[in-house]
Amino acid sequence: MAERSINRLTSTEHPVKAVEQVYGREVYPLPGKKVAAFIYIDEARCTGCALCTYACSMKHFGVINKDASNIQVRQPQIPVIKGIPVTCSQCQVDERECEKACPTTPKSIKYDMKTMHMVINKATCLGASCLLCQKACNAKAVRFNAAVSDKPFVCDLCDIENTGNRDPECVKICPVSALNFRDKGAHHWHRRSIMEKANMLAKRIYPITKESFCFPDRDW
Amino acid sequence: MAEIMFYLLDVDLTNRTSTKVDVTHDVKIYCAGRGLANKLIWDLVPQGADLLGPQQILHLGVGPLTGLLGGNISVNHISPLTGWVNRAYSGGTLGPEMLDAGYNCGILFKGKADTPVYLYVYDDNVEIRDASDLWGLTVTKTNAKLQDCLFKETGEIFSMATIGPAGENLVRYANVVVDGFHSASKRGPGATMGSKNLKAVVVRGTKGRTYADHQKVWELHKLMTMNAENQYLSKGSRLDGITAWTASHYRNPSTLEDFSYGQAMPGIKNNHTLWVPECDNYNYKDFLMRYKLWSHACPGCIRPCYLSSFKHLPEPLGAVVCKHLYDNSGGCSLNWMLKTYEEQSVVAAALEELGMDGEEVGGIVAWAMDLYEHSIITQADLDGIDLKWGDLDALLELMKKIAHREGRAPNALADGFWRAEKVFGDESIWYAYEVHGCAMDTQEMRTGTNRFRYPSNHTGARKGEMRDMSESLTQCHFLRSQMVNAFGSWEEAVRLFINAACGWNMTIDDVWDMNWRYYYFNRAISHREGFNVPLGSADILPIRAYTETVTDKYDTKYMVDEPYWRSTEWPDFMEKECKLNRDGSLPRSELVRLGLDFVIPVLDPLGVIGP
Repeated sequence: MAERSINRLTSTEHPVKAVEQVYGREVYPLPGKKVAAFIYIDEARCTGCALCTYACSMKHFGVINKDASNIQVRQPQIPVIKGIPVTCSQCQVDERECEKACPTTPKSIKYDMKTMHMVINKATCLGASCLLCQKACNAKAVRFNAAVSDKPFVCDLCDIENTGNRDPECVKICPVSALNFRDKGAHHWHRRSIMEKANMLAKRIYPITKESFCFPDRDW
Repeated sequence: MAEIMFYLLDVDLTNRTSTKVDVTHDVKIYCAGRGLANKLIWDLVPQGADLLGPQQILHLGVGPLTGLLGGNISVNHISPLTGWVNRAYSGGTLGPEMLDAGYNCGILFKGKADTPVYLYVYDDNVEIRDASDLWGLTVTKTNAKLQDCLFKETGEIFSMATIGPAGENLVRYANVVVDGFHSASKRGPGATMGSKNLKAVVVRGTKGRTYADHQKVWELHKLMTMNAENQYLSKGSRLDGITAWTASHYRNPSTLEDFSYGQAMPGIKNNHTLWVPECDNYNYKDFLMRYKLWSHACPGCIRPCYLSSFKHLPEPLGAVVCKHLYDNSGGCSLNWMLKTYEEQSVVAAALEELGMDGEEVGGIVAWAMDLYEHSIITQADLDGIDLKWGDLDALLELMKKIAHREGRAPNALADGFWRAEKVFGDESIWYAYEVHGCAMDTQEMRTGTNRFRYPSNHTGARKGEMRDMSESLTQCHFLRSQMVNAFGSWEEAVRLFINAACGWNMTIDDVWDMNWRYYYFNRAISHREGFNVPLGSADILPIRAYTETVTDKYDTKYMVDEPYWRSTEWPDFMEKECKLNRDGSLPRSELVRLGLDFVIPVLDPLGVIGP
């Protein structure tokens, strides 16, 4: 009886209900292998600790280096400092500016429909001499660091071998659960636009302006 | 596992040159951060040198664990306020950027530039640049202008440490502000920076860390981050200065939930009481709902402690952005009889603009108000300010005058308690609530253990130095409970991390030896510069601690029993906690055992070394 109940918990019949406790926090099951998925970022929760960047660079390059990571934590002062994680959102076909900009044929940077994430073909990529994909991406999510690689790199959802086993390390390490690995089509877990992010921040700090935060009427 | 090398960026401001120095040998003995700074100060600064002269050094110290367990830097120098070795530290991204740029032992500044300059570090590219256009600007404006200019030049966001008008005018408790909101405040690192004509330090590093075993380091960090107890602490952000600060008015542990700030007590009305009815205006839940924007953490830290606060106030004050922390502005509210968070927010924001230590300003301005009430200083002394309790406009005006050293009394106040007492006369001494010439406005010593920790401190007035190798590593001590949760004890956590990061093979005993070597050496430098000579002279509490009773909300009265404190409590503390002789002198046998015998010939004539 006990064996049967364990099998039920680990089976794939009820994936959404099977919430488990891992290191004291709730973890949702990974999206199915043939589902378009992305790293959903809750900016309001992010504290800017940058552990996601450490996890990413460890997974991909075996070093702790925030500049060798597919995910970045930008820390703008607006005027209060706020950590904003930025990574590739695995765009739809019509929005993939990086893929459109790639000059090689076939494209060196593309969305692999078999493994359901972005990949860069290092054999055909032109590397540091080109970097058109990096320039084309609005979010600057395609990264390049000559210290660790002569080719650009982009979030592959930690499926380095390109076998379809997507399991992002940054999501697992985030101490405040600001990062989530979610189905793209699922309810309200859509990718957020720049305007939506700005709206979230503006609601909090409205009506601040650039000039108003340091006492314009007081001459220090 | 190969041992890593340690490099220090040595900047000579007089000749405008810089070199990268290998300091691996010293780091293996003294550790990095403040431990290495001990050696640098002892070797490079002559005994009794001018406190704001070119012979002084300024060391922005980092260590092997910076950016891994918090982003702390230690700012090391001889304090212009006390004249002894200083202990100031700051969070932010500056330390991790230094490591990423390849300087894993920090930056050392020597000499003095003839015109205002700032240091630019972008990996191996080090330049000393002109800062004439930045001189005179407040901290936020300096940061905004510099950040803007550097972004246009490089397309990168730099981490920066800057000083405000207070640092430029050599106010002896001016601070160094990191990233515009973290600050190394205590006892005047900003004044030392200003005395070198150094307006800012900007750093950007892209090389990454040089750990001996990245995999091991990361596994250890994951173990700490994923600990169930730590997960709870990270999400709840229980380390919340405002909660502690408010709840401490009531001395009721249950209001502190699961977090205790020790026996901290903020001063009220220049520390004349422990409770006034206005305390009820300060409610941390009210604060969280009305002011708090979000929590922020340093790189690598799982315990976000920075609370961004914002409030749009009626004109002419406008929007106020500040950081509310216990010892940031806790001593500037009811200690000045300001009655609401609104007023405290304005003061906190002004402190950040001017670049002054909130704790020191809180104490010294409250003292000035007390003196004004008792007619020891006059309106003419204050350059026309009518300094009444709780008058926000008068207080802001006084803060501005202190930062710019305008007027007789503000100029004297800018030099700290001891120098100001000479200007205002002996009558003013009773009203000063200070230890070692440093304000005591956020940690009341009559109610708890602060009466041991503050006077025993050879760096001025602050607690927790005896067993604090955190700043040599440099690791944020706010993370200590997380380390204990994950590894059982702090020293075991340090041993594991330091061995993985540096490739060393330390035992627990080695960790403790390094800890006590740091402590004795640090104390020896202060002794050399005049601390506690003759012995016991500096280990005293303010007169009011023995003569004035304070009362809390529940009508409990507190005062220090001087004979008992002197005969029993104090010697016991020296022996058991500080591992010193009962009279407070350094133990000779321990100095020899730890390889610090070279300090003995210098200190022996001063009489501060015992058996």
